[in-house]
Amino acid sequence: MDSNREGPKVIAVTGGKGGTGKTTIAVNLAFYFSQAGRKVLLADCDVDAPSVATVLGVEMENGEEVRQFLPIFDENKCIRCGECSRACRMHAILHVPDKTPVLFPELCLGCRACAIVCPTDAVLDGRKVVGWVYEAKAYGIDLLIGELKLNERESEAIIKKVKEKAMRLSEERGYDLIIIDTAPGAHCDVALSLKDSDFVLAVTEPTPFGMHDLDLILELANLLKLRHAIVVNRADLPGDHQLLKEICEKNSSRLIGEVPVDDKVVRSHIMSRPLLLDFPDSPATKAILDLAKEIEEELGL
Amino acid sequence: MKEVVIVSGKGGVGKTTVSASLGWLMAERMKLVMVDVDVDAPNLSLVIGGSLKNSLMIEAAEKAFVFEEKCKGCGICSEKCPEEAIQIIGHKAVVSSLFCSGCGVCSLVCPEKAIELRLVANGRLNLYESHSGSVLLVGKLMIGESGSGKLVSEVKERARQVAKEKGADLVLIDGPPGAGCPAISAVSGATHAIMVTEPIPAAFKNLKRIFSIIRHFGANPGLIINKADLYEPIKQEEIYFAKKEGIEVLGEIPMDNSVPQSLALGMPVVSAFPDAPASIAIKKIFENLINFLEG
Repeated sequence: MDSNREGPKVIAVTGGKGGTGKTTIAVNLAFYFSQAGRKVLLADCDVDAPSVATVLGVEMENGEEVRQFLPIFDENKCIRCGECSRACRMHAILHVPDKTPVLFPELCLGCRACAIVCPTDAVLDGRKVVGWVYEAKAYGIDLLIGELKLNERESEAIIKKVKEKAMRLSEERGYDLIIIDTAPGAHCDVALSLKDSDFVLAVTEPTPFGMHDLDLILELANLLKLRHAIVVNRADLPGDHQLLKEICEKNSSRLIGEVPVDDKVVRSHIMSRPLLLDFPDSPATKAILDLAKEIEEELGL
Repeated sequence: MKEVVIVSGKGGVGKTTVSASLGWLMAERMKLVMVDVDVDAPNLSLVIGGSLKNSLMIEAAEKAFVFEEKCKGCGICSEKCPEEAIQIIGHKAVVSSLFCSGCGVCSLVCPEKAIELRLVANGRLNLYESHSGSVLLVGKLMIGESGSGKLVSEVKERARQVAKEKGADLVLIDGPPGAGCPAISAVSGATHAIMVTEPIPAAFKNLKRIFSIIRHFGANPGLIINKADLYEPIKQEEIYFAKKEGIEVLGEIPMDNSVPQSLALGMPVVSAFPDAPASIAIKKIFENLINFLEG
């Protein structure tokens, strides 16, 4: 996803703290842009707790498996030298003298170091399923949803697959806009989800937790040299406005929207439908529409 | 020694709010070590606070380093790197440490032996002494870093040591959201895993995900329903799910403005507003939790 190309604009919706309303904002922005006549893809990269499908009331069915390399040891070729075990920095391979190596599949990163060092080509190309990518459609929005298989740790593989597929679909279908919903936090999965996007929208709340984690996520966006702005959700919760100002200044970011506490948001989640569809006049809807216009201006849409 | 971890699946449902208040109540009854392993967004110290006694770097990640003078820019490392974390810039391999997972493939394939793996700091461990006298250990991952699962394990290991030294009865762990690598590491080894949820669809769905992890590790599962009056039918479904799966329902917390107000004050709600409906509910949950831990 090169930012200097002709093609879709990519907006990543993130926030640092969990539960600040990332998915709510991402889903409703996608709905707005789609209603406004744009071709929109919404991609859920919060692969270990995906919520986009739930919020929009669609089933996750017939997902494409995401597979990763997992070594199989050829008993006949293996000379029990232990090279593979020493090369594996994840400690997924145990060398037992005079036996074929013992593998701990849940620790395997799929890097192939074992296969590279094996002197007798005894490491065969096995595969394990680490998760799925689902395609769906709702309210005119194309959806891609990544899901990590339970008890697997390789979330990065799923995120990569979601992003790859997003780009492939975009070539076929010509999206105007790709909106990426990320996991909470500011770790490598979030970095991978944000990478190469045109614009990062950090959704936060005014509480000390929200502010603390906002600072972290903006720092990450700066590390990745991405353009960013802030939306404060549940803006009327008690908080420190001076602190927000300081965080904006420190990270060269700006506030482009404030969404008030509004019980219609919870109603929309319970109905599993977009807020904008059922509650066009609610205060949160109005704030999200204002936010969408800010984003249009920011990205020159 | 009991090790209790608070998790949720979905983020922002009240893990830290619940952990802070339960920790505050527990400290009155027993010797306690509190731990925050939401390593990429740790917030517990903001409400438990106290004074920072000690801070040290944790080296729980390996990264590739290129010896520039040896590198000939052949590009084999870049081609083989499973994370696409190496680029050849000006005939030299340049590692993007943000995306390097430390697998070491580059060093194995490099014909010039120009790459080595080095242990690097990817996090920090802060030790606080809280107002209530208990110890709080906070793990903090550096921005954008990998290895959060290893860092979680490392912080928990230190917490166990501190608990042993202090003769603590209990380690209370505020966990990360999700059901991925850090959450798995947080749940692993816990005697009890308390799930916090809300009665909305996305929280319920991800509650089921984290429960599968808890069941896999065999911790005794408990459930707290936060903002319980959001939607009665899903609350009932969650309670039904808990009963069916053998999860102890420890109680419900109503929606209460005292909670965000207490956060703004930087205090657990049970200490800032002891008579607020949420505080009364958490005290009841606390009594249930004590029985659950003893049972």
